[in-house]
Amino acid sequence: MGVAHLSKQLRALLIGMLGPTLQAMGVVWDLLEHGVFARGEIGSLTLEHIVSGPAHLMMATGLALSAICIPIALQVAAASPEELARPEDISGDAELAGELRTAEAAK
Amino acid sequence: MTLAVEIAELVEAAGRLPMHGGTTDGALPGHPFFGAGFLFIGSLMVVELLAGGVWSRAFWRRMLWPGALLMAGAGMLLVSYVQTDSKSLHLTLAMLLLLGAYTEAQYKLGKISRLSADAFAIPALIVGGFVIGPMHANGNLMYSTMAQMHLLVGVVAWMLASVKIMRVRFGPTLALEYSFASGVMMLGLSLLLVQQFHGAH
Repeated sequence: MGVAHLSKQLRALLIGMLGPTLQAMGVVWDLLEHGVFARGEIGSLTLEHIVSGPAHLMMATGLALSAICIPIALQVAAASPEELARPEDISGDAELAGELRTAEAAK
Repeated sequence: MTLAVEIAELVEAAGRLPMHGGTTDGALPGHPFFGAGFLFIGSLMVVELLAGGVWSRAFWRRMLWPGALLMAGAGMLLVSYVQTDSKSLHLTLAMLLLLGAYTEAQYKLGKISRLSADAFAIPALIVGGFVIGPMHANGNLMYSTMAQMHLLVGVVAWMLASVKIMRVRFGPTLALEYSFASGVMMLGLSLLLVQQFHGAH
């Protein structure tokens, strides 16, 4: 099944879940760093680490993404199939339909 | 138990890696912020593909990619001004990002074709990959995690260039669009990994 044929509910779910997924990955990364790989450093955290730590930035990215994507997910869930189609999808579908017609005619 | 011992040894070996994510010894922490930025914009490119025509309802959303390149270019100019070493490399990246922002904006505004924009993007990604990869990877590639992580960023840039080349060769397909968007996410992730394993600038 091509991505172009995803239902609007599934598209909305994927858009809405992208931010929380990134946040979850950031949490796992941070837990691995402080809980497994560098347990001794937990007592000597600096402001620089908190602000620029990769795991923390990944969590922040996920949070910002969630804030932007939730309204888009709602718009996608309420959109018609025509609104969801991209110009490339429409031309691709037309080509596919043309090929199918040619194949039918050849039978 | 053998398995438990092996896992313990693995964890101990991983713990010996030069990991100090977020500690730059006073240097400007550029990698993580650029990494977070590219991860963010790559995620939004995936959302753009999933949202289809809904995405284009707002003008600012259409201009997000050139806007992000413009911000990254301006940030890289700041890095090349503040950073004491590798000034020419950072300046080259800044110029590539700013010119990329210009061509992508021209494409989004309908003034040039995708092919014309790619005529700049492909060489820029290849050159950018060399600049941030082999040229910026200080240290022995066999033994330095820092050098290996820098090389990874360069390889991701070359991978993005190859996706663009395939787009020119085979035409636009949804699979290639998703590959490019997730490649930009991967670029962000690789820059975050540079910070995790090395830290300085």
